[in-house]
Amino acid sequence: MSALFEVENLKYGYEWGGKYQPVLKGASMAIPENCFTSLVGPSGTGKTTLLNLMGLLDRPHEGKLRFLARDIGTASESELEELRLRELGFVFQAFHLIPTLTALENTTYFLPMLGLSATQARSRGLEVLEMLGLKGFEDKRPLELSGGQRQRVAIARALAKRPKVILADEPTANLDRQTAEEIIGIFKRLHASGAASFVFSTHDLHLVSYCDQVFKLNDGKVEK
Amino acid sequence: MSQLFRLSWRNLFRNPRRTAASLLTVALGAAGLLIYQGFNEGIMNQYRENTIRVRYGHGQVYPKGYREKVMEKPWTAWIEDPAAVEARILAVPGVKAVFPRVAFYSFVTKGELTLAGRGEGIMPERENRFFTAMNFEEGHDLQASDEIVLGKGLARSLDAKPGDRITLLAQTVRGQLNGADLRVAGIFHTGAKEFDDAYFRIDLKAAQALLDTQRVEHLALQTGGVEDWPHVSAALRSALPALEPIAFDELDKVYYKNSVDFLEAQFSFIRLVILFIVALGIFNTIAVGLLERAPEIGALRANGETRGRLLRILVCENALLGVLGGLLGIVVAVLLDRTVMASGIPMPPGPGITRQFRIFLEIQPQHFGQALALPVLTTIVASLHPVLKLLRRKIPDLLISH
Ligand SMILES: Nc1ncnc2c1ncn2[C@@H]1O[C@H](COP(=O)(O)OP(=O)(O)OP(=O)(O)O)[C@@H](O)[C@H]1O
Ligand SMILES: [Mg+2]
Repeated sequence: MSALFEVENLKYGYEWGGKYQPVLKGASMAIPENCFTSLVGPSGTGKTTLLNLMGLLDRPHEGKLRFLARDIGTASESELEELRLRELGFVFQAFHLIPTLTALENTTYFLPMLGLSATQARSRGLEVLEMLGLKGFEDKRPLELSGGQRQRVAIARALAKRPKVILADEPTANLDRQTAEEIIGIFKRLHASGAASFVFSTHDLHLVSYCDQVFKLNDGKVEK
Repeated sequence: MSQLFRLSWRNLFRNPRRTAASLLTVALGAAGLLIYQGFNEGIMNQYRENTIRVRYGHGQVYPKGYREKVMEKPWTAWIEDPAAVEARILAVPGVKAVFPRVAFYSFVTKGELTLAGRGEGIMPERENRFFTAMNFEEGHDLQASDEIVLGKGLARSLDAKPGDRITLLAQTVRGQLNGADLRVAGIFHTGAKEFDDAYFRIDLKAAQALLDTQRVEHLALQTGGVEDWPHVSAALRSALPALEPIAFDELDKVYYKNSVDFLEAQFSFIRLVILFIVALGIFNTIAVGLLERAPEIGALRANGETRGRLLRILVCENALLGVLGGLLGIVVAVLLDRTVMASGIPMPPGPGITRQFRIFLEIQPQHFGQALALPVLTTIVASLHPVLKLLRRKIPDLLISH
């Protein structure tokens, strides 16, 4: 199986208080295609930082990051935009939906950019929402939905693009235990049906038990 | 495009209170622009009316080329057979009345005092009906052929009052000296100092007798309105090629044109001030609104949204604010014009206007485009800085905003 992500000696840090504070100090790992992977570690060890780099939201300071065999360090800004649009889906702890759009409109947001017509987008949106158990909620705005429902809309928005992989940064941290289990259950089901690969970070060691692969971040390095 | 527009449109309803506040600011700016411009137009109309009704008429007809050259014997160029010319002018559609005149230099003597003055011979019974903006400070306008009316400055220099005797001494067209004894009927002022300081008026017949001629120098015209002038002028040119029609604003280049230029320059400045205030008023609201959306915009970009599209969406949003605010402003201005200001705004005598008058707002549809375009431009410009700043930020940075 070829690699989805290849991370080699990755370094990244933040300028803070006039000083460079290293966060990733030479992280290495390989994540295969069709994975169901989680990223764990104490707060502040750089899980979000690493996921952001994997999501092509920023570039490594040192070391190599390859996504689908492409070297991210040398890719142009528009190549990154293109990869984010077509190959990646990103889900966040705080959902970050557009409050003025309905569940369906949020779900289909990116589909015109992918060349889908309005009718194609609509039917794909409805299909994805139904897959996520949101049938009947299409016309609700985010503020009219529960936290779990909002997160499912956010997953639908990422999934509707039919990406290779969905990255999720603590997708369940704002949800109660039962809803968190539901969300990971949905990930698992989608993964099993071949819809996408999943990489998510979490604090919840209980959820880790669902994963094929777990990486532990510690002092800026990755431990398997 | 429709998706981008929909996103922009929806965003207006994200925070209705904030949108309402911005809309109100923009609308007040647009209404302010329209009202100020309408007010300006109103003043210009008054100026124009005043200029026309003091002494110029809507235009005048001179012998061709007469005004361009200084002539030793100008009367040789004067219009012969004025009655026939008058009839032909009156036949032109749009011409309502014709006022034949002569202009001449003469000495003006009262007792021991002699001054040089400029005289006009006019037909008072005709002119009084149209030239209503001439102000009489003392006495009254010409009523008999042995009367004279004096400009305020001239009267003061001569120390003349109504009832005083005045002697005019002038050269006839044949080069002889001739005199006329007249009684001061009234003292006028027009607001134009150089006119009031040097001019007097007498009856056309008396002037022609003094100058020993039957000719007239020029004819002032009353038309159906300023808008009639272009076709009246064209018709006159072809009907009477020896004569030259000249519009009032060309005759009164200095005064009328300067006033209009001044008002327009003033408007340009006030317009900038209004737009600047509007921009300042909405700048903060726009910046705060954008900041609030940083995380969701970060999430969009993380999923492939491009800077270019976001720029278009955000600019479109603010343009929409400008359009809606501008439309609202137009409605407000028109409503105010029709209600509160329907009976005009009383004004003290303006520069060059010697009476109190009422300004009627002239809010014209051709100003609507500007009242719409400028607020749109303003909202876009005001939003550009915060929008570009937002779009320049890195995605991880947007995501942790708050
Ligand atoms: N924009 C930033 N500027 C400065 N320092 C930052 C920035 N973002 C993160 N950091 C620092 O980098 C370190 C790693 O942060 P990161 O968010 O990646 O950790 P994390 O593992 O995701 O933590 P958590 O489990 O709390 O989400 C932390 O010490 C954090 O304070
Ligand atoms: Mg984190």
